[in-house]
Amino acid sequence: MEITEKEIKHLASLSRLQFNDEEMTKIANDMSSIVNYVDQLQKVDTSNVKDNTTIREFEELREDVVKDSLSNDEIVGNAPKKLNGYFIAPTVVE
Amino acid sequence: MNIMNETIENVSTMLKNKQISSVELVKDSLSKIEATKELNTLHEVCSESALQKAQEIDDLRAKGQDLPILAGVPIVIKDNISMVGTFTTCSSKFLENYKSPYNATVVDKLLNAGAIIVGKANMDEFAMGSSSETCAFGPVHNPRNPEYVPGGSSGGSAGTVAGNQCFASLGTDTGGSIRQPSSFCGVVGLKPTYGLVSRYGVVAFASSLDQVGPITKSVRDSAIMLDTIAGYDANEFTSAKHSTEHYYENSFKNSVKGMKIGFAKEFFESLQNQEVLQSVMNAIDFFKSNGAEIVDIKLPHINDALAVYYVLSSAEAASNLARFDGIKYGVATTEYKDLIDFYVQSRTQGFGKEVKRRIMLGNFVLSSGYFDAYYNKAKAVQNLIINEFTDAFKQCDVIISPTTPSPAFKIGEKVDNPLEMYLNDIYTVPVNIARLPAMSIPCGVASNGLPLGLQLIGNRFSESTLFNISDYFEKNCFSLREVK
Repeated sequence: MEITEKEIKHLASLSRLQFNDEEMTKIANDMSSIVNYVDQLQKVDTSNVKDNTTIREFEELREDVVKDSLSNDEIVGNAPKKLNGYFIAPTVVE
Repeated sequence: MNIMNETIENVSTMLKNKQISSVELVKDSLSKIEATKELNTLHEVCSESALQKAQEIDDLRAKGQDLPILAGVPIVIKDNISMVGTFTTCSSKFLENYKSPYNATVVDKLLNAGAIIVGKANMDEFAMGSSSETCAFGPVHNPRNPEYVPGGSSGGSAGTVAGNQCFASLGTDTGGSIRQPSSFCGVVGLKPTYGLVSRYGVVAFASSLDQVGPITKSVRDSAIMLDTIAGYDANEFTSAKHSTEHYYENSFKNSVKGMKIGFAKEFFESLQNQEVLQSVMNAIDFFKSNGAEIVDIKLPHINDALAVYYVLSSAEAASNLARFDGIKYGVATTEYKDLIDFYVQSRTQGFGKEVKRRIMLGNFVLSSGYFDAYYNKAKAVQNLIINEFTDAFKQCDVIISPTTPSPAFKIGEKVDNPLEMYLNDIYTVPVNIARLPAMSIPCGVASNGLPLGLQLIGNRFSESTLFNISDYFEKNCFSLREVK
């Protein structure tokens, strides 16, 4: 299967990434060859396979108990922009 | 005697008998790191905290306290594992300035056992790679021959042990990232059963496959490390409630008599490298002549595991890396049009090529129109592979294979061909897909002078069996530490 540049642009916007023209050609080629390899899965008969989405052994949940957590300073400590213990995000509504 | 070449077992005895102090040992480790820093195995060296901790251990020992076997021993951890007082960069420009606000559970366990963490190891960016060349801070070099890659993604963790900069390290393994570099560097790597070791505080790549494990100079050291880091953790949803096994005390029987070793021809059909094949065949002959039984087993879909892996791991990576927005931590662009553009520019500046490729591939297999054909299909084939391993382990105790299709390759050799790079993991990924434990141990030396690795795969929670058979091989057949 060939992955077109139009598809790459759509995927880039879903991925919140940007590529220049040269990178676009390279990633379209790389992804086409990876997807062609992965296409071998289409030949596998999985008609009798059931229950394929959950890891059932981990369904037990712990009690929801309030405990000490990180301090506010520690939580915002790595933020590129912060003020009075808050994260600063770019303006969303003018 | 060069003390840095010793095993944990040996230095621990020397510490206990006061033939050496922990401060001296840490100083030796730090000088070796400095003298061989061009290998680029470490991103950060924690000299000050390590020396301070070593002094504390020496003081406790002077007071006559009985200390754990790891007390005072220099250890390295991979740079995707959080430790207070250090950066956790995942070898990514995006996290270059990210400081860990809390300790990973495995770090707490190491520190409680008195281990001295001397550094954080370079890796492929976000653990995506098989050569440690996607590290944003330059490629890591193989200590056996610096022109060659150390493997990846835990290339720094394997290289620092093989280069005798420390006595053991922690890596993470999503598709072979502990075993493949251990094979390339000639050390012992263990990928434990999914759920046995907590991932709390370890940066996620593909959460349904990731597992933390030790890299060591000997099999017995691997058991010491697993004893320290294994166990249930209420902070992790997928942590297994498995009772403590005391691997170091109970695993080693010094016999393989009556053991059933599974041989699946599917593992060997595509193998081109004669030296790799020969080294594994020699191991099989050795086990047979020492009383083990070789059983033919079938794993018909094992060669689909790599395709399953690239679909599932990329899908999970795309989701896990969606939270890197440049607001809470990491790279924040200064020029942008609006909020969406802020995300786009920050992520485009911060992530490297391979990480971008995996995010794109992940969003492709998750996008509408392709979800059933790729993601759901891969989950179905994963189930088939799990069932085949379950059937195989009704007939045998362990399964034998090479760790990798070839010994280490040269830096730069495969960097432009992602698919060829991915094929390195063809024998290791089925283990993660089926959530099994597996070990890589050295089993020979190739004509280019680089080590070859043997992979032994066990049933879930059968680490003890893996330790016994691997230790028997290391003692009685081949040990790279004895090759000069």
